[in-house]
Amino acid sequence: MTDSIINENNLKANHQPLLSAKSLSFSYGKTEQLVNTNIQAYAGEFIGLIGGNGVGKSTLLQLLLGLLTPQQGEVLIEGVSLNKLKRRDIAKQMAFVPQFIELPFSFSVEEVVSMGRNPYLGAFQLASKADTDIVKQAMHTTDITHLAKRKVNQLSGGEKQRVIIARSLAQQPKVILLDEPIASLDISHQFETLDLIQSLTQQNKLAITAIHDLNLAAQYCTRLILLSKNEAGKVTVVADGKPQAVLTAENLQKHFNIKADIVNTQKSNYAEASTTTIQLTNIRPIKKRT
Amino acid sequence: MFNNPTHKILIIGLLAILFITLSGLAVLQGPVDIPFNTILTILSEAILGTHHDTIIAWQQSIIIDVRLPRVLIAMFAGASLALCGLITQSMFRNPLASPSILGVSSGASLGAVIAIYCGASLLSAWSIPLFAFIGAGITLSIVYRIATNQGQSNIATLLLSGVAISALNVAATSLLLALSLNNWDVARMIIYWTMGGLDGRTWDHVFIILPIICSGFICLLFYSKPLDLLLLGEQHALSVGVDVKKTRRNLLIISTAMVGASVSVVGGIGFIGLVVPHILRLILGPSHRYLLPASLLGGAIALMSADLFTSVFFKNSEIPLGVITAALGAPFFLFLLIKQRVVIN
Repeated sequence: MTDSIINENNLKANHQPLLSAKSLSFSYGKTEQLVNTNIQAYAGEFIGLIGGNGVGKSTLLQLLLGLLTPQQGEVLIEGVSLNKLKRRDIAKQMAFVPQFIELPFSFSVEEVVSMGRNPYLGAFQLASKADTDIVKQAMHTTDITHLAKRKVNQLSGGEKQRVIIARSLAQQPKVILLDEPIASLDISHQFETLDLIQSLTQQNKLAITAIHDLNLAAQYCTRLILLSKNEAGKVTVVADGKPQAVLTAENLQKHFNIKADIVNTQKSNYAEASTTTIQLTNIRPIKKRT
Repeated sequence: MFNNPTHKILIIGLLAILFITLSGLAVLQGPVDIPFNTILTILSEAILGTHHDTIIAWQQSIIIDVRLPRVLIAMFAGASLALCGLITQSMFRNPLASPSILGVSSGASLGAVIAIYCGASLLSAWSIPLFAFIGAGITLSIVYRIATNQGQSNIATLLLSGVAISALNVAATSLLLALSLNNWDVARMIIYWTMGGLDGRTWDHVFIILPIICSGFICLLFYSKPLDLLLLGEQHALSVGVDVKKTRRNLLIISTAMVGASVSVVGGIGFIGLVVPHILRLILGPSHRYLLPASLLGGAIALMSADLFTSVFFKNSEIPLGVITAALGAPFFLFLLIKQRVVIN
């Protein structure tokens, strides 16, 4: 018994993180956005990135993707710095679903999903049978097969979201970063999208998603990372762990300015009954004294 | 819009046929009537090297030294303007973008006008293109540097600084024109040049524009997929493995070279770069696999037909080509403005 625990700990210690951020600092001009941020993320995790508006969740995701370059620190994927990798090679490992999806040009759904195969194809190379199969599978998984021939600029917000997630799947990445994927969806599509992401993490992919709904975050994510100002007033990771460890009364009060009753519940989507999480009820704002 | 790939290829085929017909017509048509048979003999002599005693020297000179370079320049300049319009529209995800919005065209014009003003244009046919390149290059590097902060270029800033620098270039061009008014020959050259046209173009001009347009087009073929991806936005393109910074920089350099080349040879010809890719996108859809060859042909067709139009309907009035393209292009531009929401960003 003790042996197995030690082994597990050893395994975790030796196990290389799939994606890690090492002492990242980033500022736009003179405004500091993130200071000395460290994250280690492993395959199979469903990480929720939480924090108030404007706290830098999107910035962190864009840093992890390499869309923004940090002033200090680096992002490593399987131990290799993003700076040393070509964009094509990064794209084979990591996909990104942006927050605002504008698709103003009249590509078909199938064409957009096929773009996910871009990192695997040369400049003049056409998609092979294997590529089209992967694209079909991605459209099937996201339930957009019936939209294949439709133009993306005629789709609804939720449909566009699923097209972009399908495009990400077609990249066959190990890591999927999502910037508030459920913000513009109705409640049933919110569940569908989160179920989909969860099924991906159960296939040993890593998902990191910015998310506002704390209850859904607690329900689905295996781990939450709270971005907020620390004691020195700088934005960084202030809490990192299981939902019940991050969504404490103290953190809710300090970083979200709310009070809530914290109730223990079961994670409904997991087979093992032992997986517990928490639920916030009776959420209320803290009235600021003027 | 046609969705079937076979239909798209057919349309490109039709454009190719139109292109060949128009270039033939343009050689046949001119202010001086030369019989069809004579033209064929002259051309066959030029191409095959066979010798004919029947050829009259002045007729030969009109075909070989006047009409042929004129047709070729119309072809290449039109093609390059349309291609540059296409890639700026795609890169900036803005259907109303064109090289002139980035200030590249006005920069090239200013360079060329400086060459005329200081007399360098009299020394060599190459001086105007050289100055035009320098003007376009300087403008682009200023605009790009203003809009790029920590390796990120903001598209709205890029377009706005392009507009501002463009205004500055136009002001400088007008200043030079005002200063040269006491020397009527120079002023007339500047005025005529800024209006754009194909008169008096020689093989020298063909050899200036030919290598740049051809190599530019071949380079662009490699960017067909990245251009598709950029259409859906920077984050999308980056996520699927496009090195956005590098791609955007390379595309800007290619389009500057092509705009510089065409502006230096035909002067200020507007609206082809805006209108041609736009119409083609409506017909063929957004995929650059089809749009690149179609714009190449479409641009050439547009400028050649504008030239043909001028020479048939305004035979003796010497209306500059730039006036015709603007007169036809501007109403279309307004039509687009009214019909479509302008998407900047």
